[in-house]
Order: sequence, then C-alpha cells, then structure tokens
Amino acid sequence: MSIISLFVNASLVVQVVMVILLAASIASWVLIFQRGMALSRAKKAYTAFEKRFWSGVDLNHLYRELPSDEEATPGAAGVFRAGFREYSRLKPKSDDAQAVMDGVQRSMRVTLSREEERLNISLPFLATVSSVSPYVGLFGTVWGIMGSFQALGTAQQATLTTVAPWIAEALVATAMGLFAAIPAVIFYNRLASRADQLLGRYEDFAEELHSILHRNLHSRGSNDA
Amino acid sequence: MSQPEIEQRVGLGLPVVLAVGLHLVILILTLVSWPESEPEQTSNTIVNATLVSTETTTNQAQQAKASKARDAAEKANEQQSAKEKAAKEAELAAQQQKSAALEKASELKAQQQKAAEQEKAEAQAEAAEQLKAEQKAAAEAAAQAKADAARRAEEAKAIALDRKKAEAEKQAKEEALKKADAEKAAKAKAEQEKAKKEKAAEEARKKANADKAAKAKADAEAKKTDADKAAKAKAAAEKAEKDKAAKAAAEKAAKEKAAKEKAAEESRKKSAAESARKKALAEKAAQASAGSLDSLIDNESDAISGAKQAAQAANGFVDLVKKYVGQNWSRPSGTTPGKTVTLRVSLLPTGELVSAAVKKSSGDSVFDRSAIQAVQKAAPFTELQQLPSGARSKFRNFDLYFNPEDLGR
Repeated sequence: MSIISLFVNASLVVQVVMVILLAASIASWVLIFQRGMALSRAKKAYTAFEKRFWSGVDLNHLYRELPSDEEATPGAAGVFRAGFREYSRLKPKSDDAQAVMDGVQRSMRVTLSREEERLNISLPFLATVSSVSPYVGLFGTVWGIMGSFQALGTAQQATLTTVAPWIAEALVATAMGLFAAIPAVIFYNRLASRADQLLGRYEDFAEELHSILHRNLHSRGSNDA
Repeated sequence: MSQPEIEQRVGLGLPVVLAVGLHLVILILTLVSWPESEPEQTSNTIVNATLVSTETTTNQAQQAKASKARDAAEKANEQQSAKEKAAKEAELAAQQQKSAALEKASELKAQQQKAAEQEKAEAQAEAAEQLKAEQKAAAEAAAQAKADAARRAEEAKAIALDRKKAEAEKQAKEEALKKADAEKAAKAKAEQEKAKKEKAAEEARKKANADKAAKAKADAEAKKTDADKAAKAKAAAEKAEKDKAAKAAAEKAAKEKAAKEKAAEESRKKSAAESARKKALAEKAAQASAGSLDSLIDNESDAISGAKQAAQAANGFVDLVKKYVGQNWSRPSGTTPGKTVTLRVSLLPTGELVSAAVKKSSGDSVFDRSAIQAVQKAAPFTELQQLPSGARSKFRNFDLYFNPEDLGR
C-alpha cells in the first residue's frame, strides 16, 4: 500500500494526472528555488550598487565602470546606466533642460519596466500551478472513483474492502494536487512580495537619480549663464 | 564590480537539482515510513485486551474492606460467644464490661419485675381488703403500704378532731404528693383520685357493713344536714370512728395512690429499663446479625482468597473474556498507540451483559466507545455458568483493562 503501488495500480487517466501533477510540483519547486536565488542576488547587488553610488564617486567614473552590455547590467545599475547615458547624450545637444530631463525620465522608466518584467518572470507559472493543480488532482480522483464504481457494479459483493482500495488510489491524485498547490501558493505570495519590494527600491533610486541629474543640469545652466 | 551583477542571472541547473532532490527525499521518507506502519495493519486482528480484575473484582479497596469486615466479624463473634457464655470467660475488658452490664441490667430487670409483681400483689391484696372494707384490714393495708402512712393513720386515730385529721390528711397528702415526684399535675390528679377513692371507700363500707354504713351515712347525713355539734356521743363516736375510718381509708387510698403512682413510676422505669434492655438486645441482635454477615463475608473472602480452584477457573474465564473481547474489537482509525481504557463490566449469572461503562477513560472517546462496543459484541459470556459459584459471584462485576498493545508498534 505504498504510494508507488497506488500509482502503479491506478488507471491510466489517473496515472497521467499524477504524472502531470508530479511534473508541475517539480517545475514549481524549480522556479521557487530559481526565483528565490535570483531575488536574493538582485537584492544583494542592489545593496552593493547603492552603497557604491552614495559613496561620493564621480558619476562619470561610475558610468564608465559599468559594462556596455545592456543585458549584463540589471537592476539599479541598469537604471543608472540608462538614465546617465541619456543624460550625457542629450545634454550637449539640447539647451532645454526640461527636454533633457524628460528624456532621462523616459529612459529610466523603460529600464524599470524591463526590470519589473524580469523580476516577476515565471511567477505567473507558480500562480497557475497553485490554482490549477487542485482541480487537476480532483479530476483524477473523480475519474478514479468513477472507475471504482463501475467495477463495483460488476462485483458480486459491494463491501468496504472492495471499494476502499479504489478510493484510496483515486484520492492519491487529490493528495498530489494539493501537494503541488500548497507550496506554489505560499512561495508565489512570498516571491511576489519580494519582487515588489525590490522594484519599489529601484523606483526610489530612479527618482533620486533623476533629482541629482536635474540639480546637476540646473547648476551647470546657472554656471553657463 | 560587474562580476556579481552578471552572476545575478541564475541558471536553472541548480534549482532543478534542488527540486528533484526535494521530491526524491519526500518520496523516500514516505517509503521509509510505510514499512513502519504496515505491521499496524497486519496485526489488526491480534488485539490484546487484558483483564485486570480476576482478584480485583472486589478491588483492593474492597479487599481492604473485606479484611476490616473480617476483623469486625471476629470481634463480633467473640462478643457473641462472650454473651452466650454469660461472661464466664471474659477475654476482653470491653466484652467483660458489656457482659457485666448486661447481666446487671438483667438482674435489675428481674428485681424490678419481682418488685413490681410484689407490689401488684400487694395492691391486689389491698384492693381485696378494701373490698372487705374492714377498718383493721385497711389499717393493716395502710401499715403495709408504708410505715409513714401507718404512723399518720395512728396519729390520725389519736387525733379525734376532724380538723386535725384533715390537717393530717393534708399533710399526708402533701407528703405523699412530695414523695410522688412533687409534681403539681400529679398532685391534682392525686387529689382527684383521693376523692374518687373516698367515694369508693364509702361505697365499700356500705357494701361491707350495711348497718354501720347506713348508720354512719344516716349519722353523717344527720350531722351534716342538722347541725355541727348536735349529734349524740355514740353517734358522734361512731361518726368519729367512721370518719376516722374514712379518713384512714382515704389516707390508705392516698397512700395506695401514691404507692400506685410509685408503682407506675417503677413500672415506667421498668418499661424504660425494658426498652433499654430491648434496645440492648436489639443491638446485640444487630451485632450478632452483623457478625453473622461479617462472618459470611469473611468466609466468602476466605473462600475467595483461599480457593485456588476457583482462581484457576477464573483465569480460564479471564482468558476467554480476553479472547472474545479482542476478537470483537475493531481498531478505530486515527487512534494513537499506547491508549488504555478500564471498563466496568456487569454480568448476569447467565453471563449476559448488564452494562459496560467506562471506569477510567483513555481520553479518547472514540477509543472508549470502540472498547465498549467490543465488550457488547462479545457479550454473552456463557462460560460464566460453568464457573464455581464463588468465582461466578466474583465475575458478576469486574474491571476490564483494555490495552491493545499491538498499537504500540
């Protein structure tokens, strides 16, 4: 009466359902681990970059340190790089400070949006697993119980001992569905909240960088005047 | 600076390994835990319900009571023997005292009875004499009744005057009243009784000596009706004599009344003593009966404790009860191992179940109910009829210690 024997003795549909649920559980756990690690590293990288940014280093120097590849500089560093590059490109071409700051803000907003997408990637899969797998498991259970009742109809004696194994096999599908769904629900909520928190910090950093560049632009304008 | 940011990209390799490893660990854990729980199901039919109470049908507390009862029975038996032997062999001081007191009481009762009989006889004799209505006899009766009364009668005789006699009568009455517990109500009653007795004495006189009585009556009436001192000397003497006799009779009657009252008091005392005696006897009887019960219990407990045969038969019965109850027990799902419940089982002499109640719960009502149901299913323990009577009476009520040991594994 082990889980394996229950799986082997179950009908084909129930077996398929159980395989799907097992795959969903494994995939959700893969994503949980992957997302958890990614978010923790992103948070660590943001903390390091923020420390570096507020250490009084020259922004031009900091910009030159960053790699030119856009994909290699995610997070706050990417926001800084996009904003400062736009600032450095527009400033010599335009005398209109407002136009420069609009360009900088637009560039940072694009980068923030891309970061948000990157942080929340594969979280919808967790949500899907958490909401669907119980139904899938329930489908397997219903199917198994249907089969058991069909078998009961042909049986001579409908005692509990003849019904119980069928129902147990059928119920394993529901158990597996819940087994996959519960961690998915828990970690979806947790990872989503962590991603939102990190994105909030990125936005705060973007605002601060915007104010710094704005101040810098106006002070230079006053010097020119 | 740029290196850690590049590492922010997390590959899927490590998470896949972790996730698959997690599932494998869970699967292995379930596979490891299943063999542990499999014996639980295979041993489902082998259930041990141990019967604690072969000797504890009466429990230890009851055994203690039985031993106390034994002691009490022994004491009662000793007391009984002492009473029967009439304290010839006084072994215990208390017994001696009791028996001595009983003897004294009996002697006192006998004496009182004798005295009462004597008094009654005397009173009857006096009544007879009164019926004869002879003054001498009356005087003798008065003398017999009490020496004081005789003295007073003599004094009354010596005093020829009515007033003195009346005073003497009053004094005698007062004395008699005082003697008769000095109760006012008693005095009133005594006066009434005296009046009645005087009338009775007069009637007796009339009957006995019709002539004297008629003369006396006539004289008395003449004296009373005519004048105080106009009567003749003879008539006066006769009257005086008659008066004296009447007074004496009245005094006698008063004395008799007093004596009767005394006798009544004595009889009351006697009755009280008798009642006390009866109480004592009843107590003795109760003690004797209690002693007999105690002795019965004692004998029974001795038989129970002593008879190994009954114990062997009881063990056989215990095994049967265990077997039946164990066979009829079905393990409720979700019961944790190590639970035990003590049931109180009552049987008819035929072995049928009267009641099975939880005496000491396991804390799990489902488990308790399953145990009770097992006993109810196994119920007619017809083997109880084959037990010897002593052991059978033991198993009318017994405690069933229900301990499914196989759940422990």
